[in-house]
Amino acid sequence: MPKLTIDGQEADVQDGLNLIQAAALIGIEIPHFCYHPALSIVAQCRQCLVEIEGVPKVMPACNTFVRDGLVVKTNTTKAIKAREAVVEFTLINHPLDCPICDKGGECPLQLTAFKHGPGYSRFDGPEEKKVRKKYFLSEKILYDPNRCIMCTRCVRFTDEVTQTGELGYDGRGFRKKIVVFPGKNLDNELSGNVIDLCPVGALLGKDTLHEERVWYWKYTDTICPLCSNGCNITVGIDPRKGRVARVRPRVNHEVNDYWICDRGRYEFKIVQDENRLREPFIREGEGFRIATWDETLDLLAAEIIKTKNDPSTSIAFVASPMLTNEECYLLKKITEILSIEKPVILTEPIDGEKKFGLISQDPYPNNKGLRDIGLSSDSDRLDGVINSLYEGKIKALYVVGEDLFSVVKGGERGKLREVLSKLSFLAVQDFKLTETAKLAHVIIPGASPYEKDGTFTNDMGRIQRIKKAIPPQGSAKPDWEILCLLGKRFSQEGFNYVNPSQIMLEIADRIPAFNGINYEKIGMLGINKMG
Amino acid sequence: MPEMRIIRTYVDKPNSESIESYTASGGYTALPRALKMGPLEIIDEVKKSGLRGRGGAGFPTGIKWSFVQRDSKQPIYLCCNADESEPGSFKDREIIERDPHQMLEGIVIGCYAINSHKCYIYIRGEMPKGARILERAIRESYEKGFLGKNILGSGFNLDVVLFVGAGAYICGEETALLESIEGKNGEPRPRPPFPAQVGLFGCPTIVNNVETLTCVPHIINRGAEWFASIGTPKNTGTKIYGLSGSINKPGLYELPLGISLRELIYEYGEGIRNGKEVKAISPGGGSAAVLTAEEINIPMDFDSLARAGSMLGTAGVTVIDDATCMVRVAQNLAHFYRDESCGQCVQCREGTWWLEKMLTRIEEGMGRMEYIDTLIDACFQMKGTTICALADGCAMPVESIVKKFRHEFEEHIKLGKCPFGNKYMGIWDGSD
Repeated sequence: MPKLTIDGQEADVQDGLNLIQAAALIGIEIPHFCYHPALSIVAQCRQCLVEIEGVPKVMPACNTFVRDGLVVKTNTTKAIKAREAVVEFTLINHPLDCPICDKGGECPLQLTAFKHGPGYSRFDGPEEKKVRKKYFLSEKILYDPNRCIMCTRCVRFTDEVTQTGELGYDGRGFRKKIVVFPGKNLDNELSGNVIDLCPVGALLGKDTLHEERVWYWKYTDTICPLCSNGCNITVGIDPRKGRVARVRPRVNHEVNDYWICDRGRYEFKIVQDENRLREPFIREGEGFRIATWDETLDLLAAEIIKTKNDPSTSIAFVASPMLTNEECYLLKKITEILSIEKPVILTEPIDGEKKFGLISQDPYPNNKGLRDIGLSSDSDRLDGVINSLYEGKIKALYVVGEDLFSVVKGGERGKLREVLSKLSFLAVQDFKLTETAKLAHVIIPGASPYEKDGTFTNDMGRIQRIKKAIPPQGSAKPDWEILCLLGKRFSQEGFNYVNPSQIMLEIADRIPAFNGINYEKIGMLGINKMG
Repeated sequence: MPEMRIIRTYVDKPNSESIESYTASGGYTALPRALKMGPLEIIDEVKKSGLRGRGGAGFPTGIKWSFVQRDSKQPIYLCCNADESEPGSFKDREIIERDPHQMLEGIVIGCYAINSHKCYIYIRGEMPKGARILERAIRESYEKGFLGKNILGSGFNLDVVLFVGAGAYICGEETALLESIEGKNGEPRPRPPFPAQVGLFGCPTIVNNVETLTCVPHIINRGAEWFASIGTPKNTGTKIYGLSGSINKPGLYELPLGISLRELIYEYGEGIRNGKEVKAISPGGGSAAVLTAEEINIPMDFDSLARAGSMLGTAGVTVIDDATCMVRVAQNLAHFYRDESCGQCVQCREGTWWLEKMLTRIEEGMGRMEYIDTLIDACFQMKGTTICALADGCAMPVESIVKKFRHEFEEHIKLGKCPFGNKYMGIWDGSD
């Protein structure tokens, strides 16, 4: 462990760190733009200049590595002046259009200019700043060469992380700009990350163009629900609109490092907007009528009891791997109280190599968790449910979060439709109006994964917390709350939970796979299942 | 007084570029001698000769060669830097066009000394004639067995590859040159690691200037003591000075290091054109700080010029007479460096652009007094803060001009126009 001194503070640090990392360990911030821990070092933004004892020139902290006896000074006049000069140089051709820039408020250049800049510019003649046209690098990403400070993080990202090499730079000196390599398209599945990497507002998401006013927004750390990898994300909410406005990656070296895929980044819009259910519905003739919650749940409970007591028919519960561990546990608990068959899952987890190490082929976030809770999709049973439906053995169905039409093969859909419409009772609980829901007798509006608390277990067995970023739409409720309300209709005891955290305590107590787990232990970054 | 011709001995001979001419005048006699010596012996000899790099920095060549880890498992490369593009410098071009075998012989000896079996000659894209001649010279050397397998029966193999650049000043910087050979954008690399450890294709690499390598056969043939006896104790050997600008007899002059600038200009260059007076001298290519007429007695060697705050650089001496506007000189230089900056470091990319803007405004009579101090401060912050020395190369001459000819800048600003009546010829029209 090399021992070095930074601004008079002695520090024992790990070998192989550079001075930016070492200084951060003892709470000293060295500003930088081009350096990123996941990318190679180019030392070209020159913002991290520091003084090193015995070296006449100021040195870039990013390309100077710790060694024993190194004496680093970040706060000498020489070092401070050098960094101030860099800010002044950088801003010469930067348009300073911060009031209309999407990056404003979270812009490293803005923050650095404020903290480490000279506070003025001697550049005379802003009308002479070079002006170049903006252009799209891809369908989703707009490039503004005027704002670009040529840190080349985006170029290095496509070279080193995705290794697809779509981006390069064209021209020399002040004419330099980022371009898509001729004959290529910036269309790799991680390409949206260059927007986050950009330390200025040069790379802009078209989806949120001129919408980002980040100081208005609220942020919630949660988990991406769009595949089984469980990437850690931060969801930005525009409280004025009450909607998720954007999704950004959250660093977790065990799961997704610094990145998320473009599906996770953009498809929240579909989850948020498409065919959302906002009220409970009860079938009336050919159509539906809006019902109250009590009416709906009473009807559901009554139908379940009725089917259970009739020996000639049977009821099946279907659980979706979109549900959290807690919700799945509650559903299972209800079947246990009623002593009927436990819920079934209709999809198998899909293994296989993940693209870029984080894009799983399994589109469900919690296939693993549902199995840990004790549900299964053993193929007999799977075919069993559908076959039983076809054979008319099952007369009633309670589907939570699943669209049966997305489970069966295309050719069987007609047959499924026929069978489902013949059921004596079909209840569907979901946050969107699926094809299955259209055939239901009762529709119960649940919440999307951005609108509720709980846990998912990703395909590597890591239990991670999802958090409520926005309230459910309309009078819809989180699924765990609905299941508690339903459960209480069968049993006075055992469904009085205030939040999913309490459910997890009970799960930890009863199910070996979750032994010793609680929300505190899961924390921000999740926990790998014991044993 | 005649020149002291060592490298330039045969340049005026007809057909001097052919291998017949070279061997007839005693060429390729150092090579067999060197191949009988041990490589370390050669490095020692070069160290003893005191030969310093002729590309500009003046680093001792023998010491540079000894930095290479000779038993490296990776191949070791020698790169010959023939990307001569420093403003006011034209010495390597003559060697390449008139006596290329001298350089090739130096390359073989150099490669043998550092245990390299492949040499890249990086020639500037704007020298197509030189490239043609060099290509022929390489072919001839292969045919005569001075290159290729088992050179002169010694068991030493060497391949030489001629690489033609695409026309970028920055590719004369050694790490940008390596990037360019690797097929990437010609942009300098941050150091460490240094090329001697991680150079071309990640392998140990030595980059030497054309003139440096051309000195080597002479050192081998005539001994380190002989070479060290020329010039001054720490600046040994001869140097090819290029005289240009407002001078009666411009051209190349090979003279011992340490000759006085006055002698060079008035004895060899035969004085200033049209009976004018010297106003300023750029002693070592465009990147060197300019000297005033009062500094004309300075000895032209690495150390004396460094002490005077300038540098010998490539020894391309440009003489500026008293009819020339110094603001215009500075503006012209800033314009060149602005165009040639690779654009990595912000001080260089924006600094050269800013300097050019300020100087243009002053020249056009739109300057303000505070520009002068801003120019000096911007130059100060451009020096020693970037990856390579291009920003320094712009800042040093501009800063020296502003400091030494401050009155001209003030006059421009006070008059609101150029007192020399120079019409500004803007080149960049504001587009890409």
